[in-house]
Amino acid sequence: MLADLETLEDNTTLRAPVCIVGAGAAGITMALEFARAGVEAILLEGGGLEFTDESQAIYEGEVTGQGHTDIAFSRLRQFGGTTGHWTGLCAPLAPIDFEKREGVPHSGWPITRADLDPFYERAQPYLQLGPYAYAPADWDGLLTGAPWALDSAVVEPAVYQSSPPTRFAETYLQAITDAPTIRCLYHANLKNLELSDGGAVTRAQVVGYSGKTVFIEAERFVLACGGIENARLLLNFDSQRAGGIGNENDLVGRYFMDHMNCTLSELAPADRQGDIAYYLTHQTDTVPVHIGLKLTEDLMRREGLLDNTVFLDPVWESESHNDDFRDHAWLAFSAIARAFSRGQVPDQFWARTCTIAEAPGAVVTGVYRNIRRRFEPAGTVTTIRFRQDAEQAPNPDSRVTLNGELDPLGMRRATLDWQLTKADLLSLRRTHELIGQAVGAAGIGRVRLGIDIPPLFDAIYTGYHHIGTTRMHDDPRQGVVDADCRVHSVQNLYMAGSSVFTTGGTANPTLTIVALAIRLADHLAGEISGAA
Amino acid sequence: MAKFINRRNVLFGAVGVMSVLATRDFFLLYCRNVSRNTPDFFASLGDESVFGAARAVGRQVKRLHPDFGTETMLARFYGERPLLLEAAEETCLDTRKAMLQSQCGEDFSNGRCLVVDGWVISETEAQLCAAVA
Repeated sequence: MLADLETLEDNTTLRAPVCIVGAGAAGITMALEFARAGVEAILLEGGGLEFTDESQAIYEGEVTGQGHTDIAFSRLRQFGGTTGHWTGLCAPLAPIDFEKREGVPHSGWPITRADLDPFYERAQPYLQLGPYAYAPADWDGLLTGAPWALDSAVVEPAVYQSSPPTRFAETYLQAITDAPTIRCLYHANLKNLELSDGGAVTRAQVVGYSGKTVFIEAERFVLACGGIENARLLLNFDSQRAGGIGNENDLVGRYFMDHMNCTLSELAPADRQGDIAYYLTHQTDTVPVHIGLKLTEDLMRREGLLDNTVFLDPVWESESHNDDFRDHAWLAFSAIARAFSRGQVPDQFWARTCTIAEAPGAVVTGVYRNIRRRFEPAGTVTTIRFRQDAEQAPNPDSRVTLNGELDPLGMRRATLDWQLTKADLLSLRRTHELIGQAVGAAGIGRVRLGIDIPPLFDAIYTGYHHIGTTRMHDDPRQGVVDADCRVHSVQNLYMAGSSVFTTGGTANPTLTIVALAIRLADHLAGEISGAA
Repeated sequence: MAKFINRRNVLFGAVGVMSVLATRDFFLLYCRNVSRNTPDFFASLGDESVFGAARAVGRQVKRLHPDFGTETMLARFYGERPLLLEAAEETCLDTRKAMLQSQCGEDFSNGRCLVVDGWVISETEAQLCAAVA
């Protein structure tokens, strides 16, 4: 069932075994998993079914620290959440990402990759991906080109899959609406969580934009609002717990991580006509596959390095074959064009059209080049750039805090202080150096490092991945939630989404968000049915 | 002369020129698809066209490692890399380049490399460039 909160009576109280706050990738997945298990759930979304300025404005805040990031528009506050504009690249976190790594302070999840594997497999269909196959050998014979003869003790291929990308609003709205056990309320903004003396959430206060209030009573509550908003909400709920719920050890909002999105370092190929097809995108029968390069886990452990996958961006002799013109306008244009070519009506059509209208230069260049490249050969590869979403180490000084400004609902806004360290960038430099040694040994070419000593941060941009603000750890002094994603200090409050990641790895986070959501839904459904 | 320039000769001449151009273009077209293992820049020290660039790299190397390329260092260096001495004796440029690349590859595999002006290069490349700087 789907309803606008404004259609309910003021001061209504709704009850269900579980209440999920946030209808994004994690929240919708959990609701659907509960529906499969026959567990009744209330799903709350602060935004509407489509983008509105009124809802989005609640995400506005302040950015300090590393400047190349954003707090207001990188996330979408509407049904479907940020899946409304994600780009779809997926891979599971690597086994090493879960380990306590010598060279990575504050690393070490209380769960392993093997614990998550069954849930990753179940997450694949939610994101309309192919089989749960991320080992290069899984794709033998299905990809074009040949891998370079690189020393397998140093560098190995990394497999990523592309989601269409799945827009959760379009894809799952009907399923949510039709599920008899799901009650989804939109325009329903969480204002407060009330705690019992025993340390359990008893009731959620939810408000609409007109001031209407609804109360939710549930046995279990899940916050699934994203890496920044999960922390902002907990910090705001300080009427019964000083400093906010779950913040007894001053950890909520700390350890904020993002991926260091950058195109740094390049490879000058020895043979400009050499075959690099293997390291580009492959249109397979099941799913588009991308191959990157990464150091082996043994080498990362030995060198104490952070995780990174390098994607190779060739620069072709013919300008028409290069994609350096791409920007938001081009992405909007290509999304519209792709939808029309499939005979579908594009989602966010007017929003995207306006994005194009504001800065049409890239679209003009892109269309011109795409036409030209049909008649003009690409020529040779002049250089190959290294593009990546590199891991940063967990850092307690990188954090989300509250500032004095209030949003229209009377809640304090967030300040995002994203901090990177020189060690983060020097780790990436060393990774590129080791790749440079491997390609040199194989006679493929020479690498020029794009990171100086001391490193500069001006070429580092956000990956739009907000991670780690309610991190998972067995020890309440080192993490906000336990291995079951339960807030250590609250009996029945759980966190879902990338805020629980202990480390960020290098893989794009959505697949892991969905896998963890399925795992949490299984856990809670088991508890609920056990109690019944 | 005027007798020579007649319609028949002009026609034949034009066909001849066009044939030459077409043959060249055909081969250029063909060459686009021929995979050529162009030897590494640093392995081409015998080639005058890259000599200046090698010297420039060598100057950077010497700035960071003043002992590189000195006689003492080179004597020890060649002693540890007999393949380089063989390469120096080799008259075939392609074979010499292959031998140098082989030695560079071995350096990289064993971690014997350094960063010069951002470039990750092998010790062999660094020493040879420094020697000509």
